[in-house]
Amino acid sequence: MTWLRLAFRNVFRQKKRSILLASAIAFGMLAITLLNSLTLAMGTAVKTNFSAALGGHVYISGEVVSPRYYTSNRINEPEFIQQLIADSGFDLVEVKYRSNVRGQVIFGSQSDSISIQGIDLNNETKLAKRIEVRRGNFSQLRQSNTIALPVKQARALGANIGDTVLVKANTTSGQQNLLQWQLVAIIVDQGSFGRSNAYASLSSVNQLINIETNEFQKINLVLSDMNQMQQVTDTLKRQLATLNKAKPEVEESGLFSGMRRMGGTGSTYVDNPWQGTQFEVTNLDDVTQQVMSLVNTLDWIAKAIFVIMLLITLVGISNSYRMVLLERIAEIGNMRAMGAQANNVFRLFIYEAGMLAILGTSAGLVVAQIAITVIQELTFTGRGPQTMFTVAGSIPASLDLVSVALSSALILIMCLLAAYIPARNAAKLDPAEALRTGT
Amino acid sequence: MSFIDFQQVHKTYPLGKTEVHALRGISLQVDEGDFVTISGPSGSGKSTILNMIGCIDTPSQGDVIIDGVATSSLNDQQITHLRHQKLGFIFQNFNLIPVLSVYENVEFPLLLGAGKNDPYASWSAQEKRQWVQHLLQEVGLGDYATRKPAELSGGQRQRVAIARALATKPVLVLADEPTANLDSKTGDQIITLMRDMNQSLGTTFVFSSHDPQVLDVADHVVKIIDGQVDADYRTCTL
Ligand SMILES: Nc1ncnc2c1ncn2[C@@H]1O[C@H](COP(=O)(O)OP(=O)(O)O)[C@@H](O)[C@H]1O
Ligand SMILES: [Mg+2]
Repeated sequence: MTWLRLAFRNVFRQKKRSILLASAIAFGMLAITLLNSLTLAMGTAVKTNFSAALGGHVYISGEVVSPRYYTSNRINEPEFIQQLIADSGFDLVEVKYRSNVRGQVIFGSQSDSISIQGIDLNNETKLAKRIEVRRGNFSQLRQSNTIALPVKQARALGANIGDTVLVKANTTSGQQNLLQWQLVAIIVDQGSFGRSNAYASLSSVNQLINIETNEFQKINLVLSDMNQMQQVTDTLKRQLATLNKAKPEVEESGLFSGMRRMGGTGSTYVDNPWQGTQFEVTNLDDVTQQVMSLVNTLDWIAKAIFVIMLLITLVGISNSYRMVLLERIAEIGNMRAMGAQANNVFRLFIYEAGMLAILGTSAGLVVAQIAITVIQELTFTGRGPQTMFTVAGSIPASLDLVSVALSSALILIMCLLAAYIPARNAAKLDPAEALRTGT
Repeated sequence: MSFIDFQQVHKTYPLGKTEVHALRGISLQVDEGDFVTISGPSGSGKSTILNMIGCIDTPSQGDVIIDGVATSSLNDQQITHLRHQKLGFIFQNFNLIPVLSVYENVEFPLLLGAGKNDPYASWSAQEKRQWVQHLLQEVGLGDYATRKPAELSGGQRQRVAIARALATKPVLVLADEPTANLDSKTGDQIITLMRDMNQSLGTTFVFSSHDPQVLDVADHVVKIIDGQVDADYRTCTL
């Protein structure tokens, strides 16, 4: 207790020097905490956005070969795959059967291009909750030949609830198709990079792309535990492979290869056609892999900068304590004369360095928390690729307690190491010598 | 047996390629309760002798025996404990701890951890507080408990040092030229205060001075010249 008190007072003895050292530590802590929380926020945003955009964690798509040897994106063995999933015993929150197509919506003389998701509302409950309905009734999408449009498109077209719009798209085999649908809801769908989808019933979209009513193009599995993603993916792949139903893996790379794979490869000519559906299983991690590796690289750069800054600070601390030792030589001799043991003197130095570290770290943490709060308050309205890093228009930054604990511990250990040699020298001082040389 | 016993003590310090022969065969005894002056000109070896009595230095040759124990037979930890238990120190430069208040400076030795034989080992916090207050009163600084050393005059600082040296109720207090940094009037007051404490508490005092005037108050005078005892006598005590 005595030594802790003495150490505490000593920290404030040379105020300027201590403040300088503590500020250096605080700055390091601030930088690493902020960078950490930002890269983490980027990661969270990327995953949230992709998972919202893709509507799940594990994705199953299928390819079928037409009599003319062209592939198309569809699952024409729905019962088979439904049974396989049911038998697997996965812990699933939702199983979504979907078809989607990029189409042209035409109303009067206006037209706009949009991605149309075919959904089965009897099966999907979560979606209706996420979507904000501005006008009309989203649940009317249960009827066929209906469509829900985002506010922006509805406005651009000048269409209103009850209006009939023309929807033009390509079928899976590449022919143009044109259908008349009724606008039943005007919606805001946040969370897919700030871009909205249009929605229609699964059977209507199937009709538009010319596949059977009970078919679909992909299945999105929403897991109750996102961490089981890889395990579920692997199990499915293995089972499909044993049943000879897996699409052969092809090596692909590039920033958006994962996304392309997930979305299927469009129509291509094949020499060796297969029967039924060849399935492909991907997951969120595959899709976000490239972006996440970018984020992780940033994270490592931040850590490297932190370590370099820390090392520079350490040299400063070590030098300061060497100076402290010289300044207090008589005081140390005096304390030793009065009966302070050598290890008391050693600990005094270590305590001082520890307190300095704690002081600096806490200050850095406080500033970091303030900065993070400010960042959370910022809103971004742009629509560029940067929306990948925001959720609902803001950066989901938060203090990452694990990394805070790790960097604090690292700073503390490093500060103690920096003070170690001066502390040992102080403890080794010969009292007689110290009293004679110090004034 | 005497509390301090020097037997043919030599001390040499290396100095460049040669050696300084600081002590050349010193023999002296100090009894408990004595008020001893080590006097001699600057460089004669007074500090060296006091450092050996204070167990912060050891002889190159000969034996220094404190309370029956040869100091050269103890390791650093044991010797530190012996200092804490039996000795108090007063320095020419006062050497108070600047970040501690007057009260905390006096209390400091009491907080260094008591051995079971130490007189204050069984004291309660209350008793310790009363003792520190009493000492401050005795040295005339009862009202200065919360001051920092920097706010005091030289004489006042040396009074704090005296109180601090007495805190653990040591057998012996060593004072190396305690008056050298004070004007003569204040110096006299400090010597008188030490003498008072010597008589009221029975603590042995050994102090050095290069000022021949202080000899009158001592009841045991050791004169040193060139590292040798020039004279060693007791004045008549009452
Ligand atoms: N650590 C040391 N190294 C070298 N010489 C020393 C050391 N300590 C004392 N001396 C020398 O020993 C002699 C006695 O010194 P000291 O005991 O300090 O004398 P005093 O206290 O009487 O002035 C002096 O010549 C001094 O220079
Ligand atoms: Mg001297």
